[in-house]
Amino acid sequence: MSGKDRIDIFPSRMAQTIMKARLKGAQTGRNLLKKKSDALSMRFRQILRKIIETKTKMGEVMREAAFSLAEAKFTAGDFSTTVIQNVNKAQVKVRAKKDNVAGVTLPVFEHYQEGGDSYELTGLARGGEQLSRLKRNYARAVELLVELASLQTSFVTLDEAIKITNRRVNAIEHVIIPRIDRTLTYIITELDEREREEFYRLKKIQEKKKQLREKTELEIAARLARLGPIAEPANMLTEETDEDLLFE
Amino acid sequence: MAACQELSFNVDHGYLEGLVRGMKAGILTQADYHNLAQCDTLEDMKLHLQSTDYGKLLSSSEEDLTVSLVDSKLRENLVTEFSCLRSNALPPLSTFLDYITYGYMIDNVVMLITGALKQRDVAELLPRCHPLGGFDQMAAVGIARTPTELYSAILVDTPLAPFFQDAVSDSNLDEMEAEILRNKLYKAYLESFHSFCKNMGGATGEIMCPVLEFEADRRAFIITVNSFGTELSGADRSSLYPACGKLYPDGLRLLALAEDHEQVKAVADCYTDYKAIFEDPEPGSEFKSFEDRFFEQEVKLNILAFLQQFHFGVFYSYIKLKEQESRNIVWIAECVTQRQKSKIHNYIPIIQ
Repeated sequence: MSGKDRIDIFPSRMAQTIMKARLKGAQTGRNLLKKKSDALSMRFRQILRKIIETKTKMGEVMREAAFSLAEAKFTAGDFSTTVIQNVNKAQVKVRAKKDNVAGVTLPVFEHYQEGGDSYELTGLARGGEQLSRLKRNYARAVELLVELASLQTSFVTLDEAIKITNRRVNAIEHVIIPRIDRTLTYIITELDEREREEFYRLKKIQEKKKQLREKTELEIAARLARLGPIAEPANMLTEETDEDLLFE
Repeated sequence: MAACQELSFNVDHGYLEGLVRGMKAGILTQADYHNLAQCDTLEDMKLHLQSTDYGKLLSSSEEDLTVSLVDSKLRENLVTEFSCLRSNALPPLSTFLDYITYGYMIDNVVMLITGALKQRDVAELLPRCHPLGGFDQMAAVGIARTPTELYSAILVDTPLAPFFQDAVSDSNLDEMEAEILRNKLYKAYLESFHSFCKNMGGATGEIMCPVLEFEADRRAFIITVNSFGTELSGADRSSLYPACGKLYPDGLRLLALAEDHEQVKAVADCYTDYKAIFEDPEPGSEFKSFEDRFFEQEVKLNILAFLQQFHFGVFYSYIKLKEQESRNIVWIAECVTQRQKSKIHNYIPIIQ
């Protein structure tokens, strides 16, 4: 990154006004982006905490569910073929919704039940209680999984968004604003120098005029002294010969 | 009559009875279960099992040792023992052993029917059938498209045909739910088995009838309790209750009307055997679900069968006890692999 350049622009008063406006704009932009980054970071930390919570709960729930499967198999025998045979449509489905955080859209998954329980009568003769407990445990596990999925996607999306926003904030803060600053200082120095040059020129002209005036005064004084005591200016009415007339 | 039976029993069936009693002696004891429960991995369990009658059962395989492998090996073992018994059996023992297999056959048939309904490949389903419940025409099941077709083409030739009479006459086979069909078939099977044992009379009748009655009543209770909260109404339920138990006919009628757990308990209180099962446990003792208590009672009845000689009940009891043992071992294996040692003692102890 070249650090010492400025925007090439002809230094004038209008340029200065324009640059000032741009500086103001850049600073406002930077503040807004910083606020956005802060909001996103806050949400990010919240999500991170919830992910840790959910993951630990997930471990326990899965463990319990696997154990209740063992219990059900003990009492009801092998019902895996019955279950596999009776599969037709999904009972638990997932919907995707959008959530907006400081301008970033996050996907959110929620689950919903559809249709009745097609395994209501499984285990009617043996192990019904254990089977219903098993169904409940695994339903809870699926719920947690869906929640965890939505948390993790938001985590990844937010991470990207935060990186981008921070990059922009840093760019404005460390590149754009200093550049505008340098341009402004350059314009100001140029204008000042021009003024000084103007001033110097004026002063020189005045000096020259003064010298000229002094010289003319000296000449007049010398001429008058030559003419004698009659220090009257020449009278046209009394003059007999007119210099301008060439032929009489 | 009884004397004659005792005298002539050993002629046909003595060898097999001796075999069964020998195998029964190998059932795991409380000490074995205690050792297994102390294990931390499946490898340890394998070592312990090697010192029991199971011997080299698990060590011969090269696949990874998982709980499902243990399960399938135990089942294979049971099937081998049963086929050994069956192949050497003479009638009427052979009929008796066949009756034992009908239970598994019903499960297989229901699975094949649901598979045919969903047009699944039969080759996928056949390996998942219980090996004890195989019948000749199983592979041909794939050609049928609807359950009625299946019934008229194939099932009519199997030994299960009479059990379907009841189910088919009441309602259309196509619309019946798989579970309802399974329970109806099982009801017909139990009643048929019960009348067979009663006709045999003698010690067999004495031992088997209470066992089957208990099974019938247990099914009635469990179906009732499990159907609370489902769309199975009381009237539908009563068509699933086997009629060969102690509850028939009054208890069954009351159960069909029961709407919650309290009413079921009230029905059970009228019968001393079942009162203890539904009683609330004393404070301080471990909570057991009533299914567990039914299991315990079943094990007790099965052990009683071995106290008498010269009857067929020992074969039935042996199969049931071996099954319970496999379930226990698999339960302990699951607890060990999932590191949930808190409930590891929830198996049903067989021999104290």
